[in-house]
Amino acid sequence: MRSLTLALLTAMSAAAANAQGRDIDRRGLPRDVAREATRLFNETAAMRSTGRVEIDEDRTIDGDLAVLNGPVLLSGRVRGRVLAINSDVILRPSARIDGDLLVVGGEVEGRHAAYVGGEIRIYRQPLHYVREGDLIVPERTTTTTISNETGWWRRWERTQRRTGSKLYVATAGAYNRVEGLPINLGPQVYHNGPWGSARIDAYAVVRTETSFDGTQDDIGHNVNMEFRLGRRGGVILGGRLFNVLEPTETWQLSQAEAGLAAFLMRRDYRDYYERRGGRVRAGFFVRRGADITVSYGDERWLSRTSENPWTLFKRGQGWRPNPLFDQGRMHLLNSTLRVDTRNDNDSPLSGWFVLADVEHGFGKNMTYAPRSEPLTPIVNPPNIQYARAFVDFRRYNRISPDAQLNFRIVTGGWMNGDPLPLQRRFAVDGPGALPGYDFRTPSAVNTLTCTIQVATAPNNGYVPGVPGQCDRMALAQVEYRGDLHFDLFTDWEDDHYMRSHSDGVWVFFADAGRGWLVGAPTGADPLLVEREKLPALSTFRTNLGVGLDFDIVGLYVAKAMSQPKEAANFFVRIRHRF
Amino acid sequence: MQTRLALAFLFLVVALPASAQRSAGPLVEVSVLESNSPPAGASVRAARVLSSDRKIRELLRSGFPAGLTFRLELWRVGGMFDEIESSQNWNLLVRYDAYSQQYLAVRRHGTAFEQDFGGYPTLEAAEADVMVKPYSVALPPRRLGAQYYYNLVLDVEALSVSDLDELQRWLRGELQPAVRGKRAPLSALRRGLGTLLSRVLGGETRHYEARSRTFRA
Repeated sequence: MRSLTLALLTAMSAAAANAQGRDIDRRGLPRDVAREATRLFNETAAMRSTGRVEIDEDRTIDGDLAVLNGPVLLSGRVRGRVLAINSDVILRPSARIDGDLLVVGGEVEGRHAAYVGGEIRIYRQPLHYVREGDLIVPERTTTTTISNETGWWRRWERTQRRTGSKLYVATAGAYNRVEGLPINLGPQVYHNGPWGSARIDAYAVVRTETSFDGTQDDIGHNVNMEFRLGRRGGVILGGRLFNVLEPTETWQLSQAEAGLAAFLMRRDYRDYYERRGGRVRAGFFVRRGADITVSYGDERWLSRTSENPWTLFKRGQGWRPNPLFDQGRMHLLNSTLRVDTRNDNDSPLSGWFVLADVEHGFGKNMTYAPRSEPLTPIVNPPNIQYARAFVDFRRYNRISPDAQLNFRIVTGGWMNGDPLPLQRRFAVDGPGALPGYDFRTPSAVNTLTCTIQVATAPNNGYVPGVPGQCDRMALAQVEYRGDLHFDLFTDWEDDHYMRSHSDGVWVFFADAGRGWLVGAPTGADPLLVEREKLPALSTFRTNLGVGLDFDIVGLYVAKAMSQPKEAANFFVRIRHRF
Repeated sequence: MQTRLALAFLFLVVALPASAQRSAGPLVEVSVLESNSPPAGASVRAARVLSSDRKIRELLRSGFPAGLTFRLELWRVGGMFDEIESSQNWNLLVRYDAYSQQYLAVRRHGTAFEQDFGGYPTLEAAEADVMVKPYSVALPPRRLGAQYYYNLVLDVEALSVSDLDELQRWLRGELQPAVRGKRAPLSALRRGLGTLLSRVLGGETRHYEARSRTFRA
């Protein structure tokens, strides 16, 4: 038995040694390039040369040019392609190559001044070859390795971008008080081809707070399929099956911000309801920056209550209750436009971002959650239909190399039909909207959440969690961003100005906004505004603020201007405010 | 006296790290190419963006390629707002090949330009040849007489790092010594939490910006 094992080991070692012996030069020229270069050299009929070659400005080569052991000095024109093997290529400004330029074992100088009509490929690694008469063949020992068949980056790109599948484990949303951390777990299959792309994600949604609880056994799913027909523009077709918890007011704080606030400080700025059902969508996209889609969904909306997930700090405090939301079977027809011309998604300096959505909702067998004052409890109708619009409009402007002036307008609201379900209503308070005003604080009349405080009513007229319940809202944000020059040794007019993550910018900002209910105003009720009208600008709440933005994280302080007695609020944002 | 001491301390706090950073930290530069009149392009160079970053170095040695995405933008100075007139993107990929113990590098500029630099024995040598040497990019202004400047954005990241990769790396690199008793479990957990937070905050990608002087076309 021992001898058999030894024999096996010996055989395996020999095989491994053989494999290593074949794999001599891992940094050699990829074999496909070596083959291509020798084939092109041997095929070239127009001009094939060994040693230094110089093409003068008034000379034209009608065909390909192949040079071995150059260099090549090109001032004239080559109507075909140029191949340089173990040669440098020097292109004068008058040089013109109508075809491709392939350089193996050399460098190219002056490619920007000259004209090259085709592809330029440069390989530093020399071609090791042997001569067979006029022809050359690659020397097998140095360049032919199995693993070096093609360039390593091509192999890497193929695995990354073309077709593939992987097991995907990632967060499915923000850490929150209803499900803890939701985790997507499942396969992801994607294919990129010349016709477009296809992608299928099939995830189980595991919720750390409820999926492992014997009494609930709560596991969701999220299956998404999308086809994009076309490369630079084309058609989008997709569908989705889901059982997920959906947050409200996602336009305010990012997922990372909401999750970190909940995980660290036990503050959950979003409210959640359950969506189960399916949705199909179709649309058009232009490049990567714009698309318009129409989607139709048949789903069930359900309420969820808060759990008690672990947090790093303030574990002794309770969570804000997750509000109850309206329940029923919903048919939703959404038309969505997205335009994104920003030069950078994470740190935009210039460009537009527009997200516009119009939703027509048809609800059946509705049961309504309680409302805070001044809304009255709803019992009927069991079936509803409504239309709601939402627009997030941003413009990023660079006003000088060191400064930016950015604008954002967010507006939305009821358009027609029955009153909006509670999960489709709005609030504009808190750090993501008007940071100078505290989040969900009681006040006699709160135009940011469309609630009023009634001392004689139970819980002052508020329902648990105090969901936003405005029919409509409008918010305008403006910010000036100017570079900080922390580095005392840098000349501010230095030609080589540079900054990185850790360098900061000053941010001065102002926000104004409010929400309102649609209806005939009665007396001096500031919450009600007629359907066709906008509230007076003087009723909008405003705040001013200043901050330091270090690209990844920003530290800010905001002061309410409409209510001078309100204390200044200090807050932290991940990435930028918008 | 106390004020002077405080000022001196403040100067040291601000100045020393800054001077240290200038000597050893990453450097990204973009200069206007003066060879043409009016200028029609920019020269780009970067130094120490990989070698000065311990995390990226570790990831490279662990087999993850590093991707450097360059974006050169041509900005026209406007009356009120500056406008991007045109831009160009290109990539540098750097990988460590454990078998040959070489750092391999390749540059891709659109679909029409590809440059394979081969291998280098050290990361510093790769950087010196591939990044420190100026790389010229043609990006000519369109409006004669207008004022322009170039803005360079560089994002450096370790590629192929999915959450699963990160988890496996964490289990291998951070947790295993703790399991074997070579490192305190709390320290491993703290480092793991730090990694997680860093990823949530986007700290795994290094972002640099540089701009040229303003010039007239």
